[in-house]
Amino acid sequence: MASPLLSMDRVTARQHGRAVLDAVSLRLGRGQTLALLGPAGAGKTAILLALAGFLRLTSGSIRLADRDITATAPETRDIAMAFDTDALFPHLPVLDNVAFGLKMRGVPRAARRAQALAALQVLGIGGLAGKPPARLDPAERRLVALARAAVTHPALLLVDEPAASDASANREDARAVLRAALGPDHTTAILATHDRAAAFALAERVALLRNGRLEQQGTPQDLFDRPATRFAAMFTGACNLLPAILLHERDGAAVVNVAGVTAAACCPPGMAAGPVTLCIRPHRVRAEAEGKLRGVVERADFQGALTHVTLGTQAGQCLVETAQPPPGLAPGVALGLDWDGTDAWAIPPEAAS
Amino acid sequence: MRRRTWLLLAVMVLAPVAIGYLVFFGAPLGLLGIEHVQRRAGAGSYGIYSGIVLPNTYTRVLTDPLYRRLLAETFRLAGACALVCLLLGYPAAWGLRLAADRLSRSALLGRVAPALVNLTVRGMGWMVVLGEFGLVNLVLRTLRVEADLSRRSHLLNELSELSSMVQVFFPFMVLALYGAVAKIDLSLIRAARNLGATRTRAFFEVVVPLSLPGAAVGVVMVFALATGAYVTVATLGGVKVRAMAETAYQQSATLVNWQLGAAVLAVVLIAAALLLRLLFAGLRRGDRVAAPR
Repeated sequence: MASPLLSMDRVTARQHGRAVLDAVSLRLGRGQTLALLGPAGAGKTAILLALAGFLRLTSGSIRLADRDITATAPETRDIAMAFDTDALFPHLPVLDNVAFGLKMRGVPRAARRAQALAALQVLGIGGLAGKPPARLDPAERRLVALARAAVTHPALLLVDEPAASDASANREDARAVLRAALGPDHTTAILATHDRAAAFALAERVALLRNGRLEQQGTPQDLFDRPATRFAAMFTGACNLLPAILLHERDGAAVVNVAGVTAAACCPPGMAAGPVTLCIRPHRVRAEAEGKLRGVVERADFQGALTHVTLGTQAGQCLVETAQPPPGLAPGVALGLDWDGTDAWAIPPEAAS
Repeated sequence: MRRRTWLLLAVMVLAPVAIGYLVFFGAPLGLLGIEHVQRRAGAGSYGIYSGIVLPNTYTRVLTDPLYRRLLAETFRLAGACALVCLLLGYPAAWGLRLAADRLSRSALLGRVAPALVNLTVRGMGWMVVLGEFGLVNLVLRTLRVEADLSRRSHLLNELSELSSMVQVFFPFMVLALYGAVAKIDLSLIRAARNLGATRTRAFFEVVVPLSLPGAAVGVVMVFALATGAYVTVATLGGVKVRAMAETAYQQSATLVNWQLGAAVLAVVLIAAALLLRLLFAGLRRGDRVAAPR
């Protein structure tokens, strides 16, 4: 990136003696979508509020389009936010809510109402225009909040908990809606969510947060296939974490010892030999009669398309998801685990907290 | 059966209040209505009504330039008082609301409580400052400013009258506004500013429309109280600034002209009620505009 649209540099914010954000640095190119992923209290919303100008920074700086906005007033930032509380103005009908940002920018009444209606129609909720916010259901309120933020075509759009992460909502629909909101010219956007599926599906880049710190940043594939820490491995999906010893490594290809069995794995280039944690996703590990790592079936749950097999091994319990369970699968049967070297990922021990 | 029990209970609870209201408020008011059109057998006595209609008390109140001026002055003063209270009350209420997040409830109460000291006492208190022998005049005299100014009591100044009324009735406005403003979600202000509204713009676009009902209650309270203000007018208004409430008292208690006093009061009561009705009608129309079609 020659000159990123947005750059946050070591942004730190303390509240009541606690670091809400701890030296968070992010970069985002024009037209990109970044997802902030993390559990509740990880600092996702704090980053959005810092960007929007509602969180006092202890240190660090924020630049947007080559302008330092660290200390500028919220209304001058050209960053629009769809709040997780939706924060719709209760005294204005939906259309006027959506037109509010345009009104503040001095767009004439007729023009702003037309634009607001168009923004609602893009999200498929043109019919709500005349309703008061109190008569909308939560999903509708979110959509209106999204339309209200997107209609001003801000330099940066922030979405706190997009509807796609709503368990109740139809996720596929919600994703299509968010893409529609970003528009054909693809507004640069940051989404905050605790739902990894939403983050992976909606964003080109994902930043994983934990306790106000940036845990890992990269493409969804980076986070899923090459987690930097045990936390990253577990938060990005189900995984088997097996204690192992790294014997030797060359250009990211490693040989490890798992409970006495020598196996291939991948690791960050230059990783030192010694104890590591091996991360293997359940759908990438095979349970076979002649597998290397021997174990005994503890449970076998047929779940339709996939069968979940829990195997007790010397390296610990291991979950296998397979579409083709071995014949004669039942608790007590001895099986072996096997995997491709590219499907096992070594996590350094210092990060194993 | 249960419904009937509740109804009975409600009647039993409300009946004493209703009876008391009728006897001590409704009846005197009705008597007043008769009073200003009837002549008594003996002036000022509790005699039998002679049945002679004397509509000229009303005509006098409504046509006599003196009373028309008094009526206008009363409403002008009450209106100005309500307006000033409203303009000062908004920042005060909003400031309190923002501070409420940081202050404890007891600290908040500590700030409001002194304003609720007895109205008469606070009205009188102004004499210490603005009275003929008050602080302001004392300073002026010590500084040997124009003797004329020091002799002319500040009490007679309409401005001092207004300022004392504002000070006395201000808490009512702030409390009414605070009740409305406290319910406003602060995230709405964030949303407004995020969408490009300055602090001031956000206040007028979000806080004001959302607290309009509270503002109306405040205006009605202050206006009604100021219309009936008697103590401050009597103590600070002096001879030059006079209001209807004081005149009614003077006519009925001092000059024993009950008919005129009653008429004066009736005119104030009806005019104030009409003004308030207008205000509420305007508010309701505003509501309907804001509501969706």
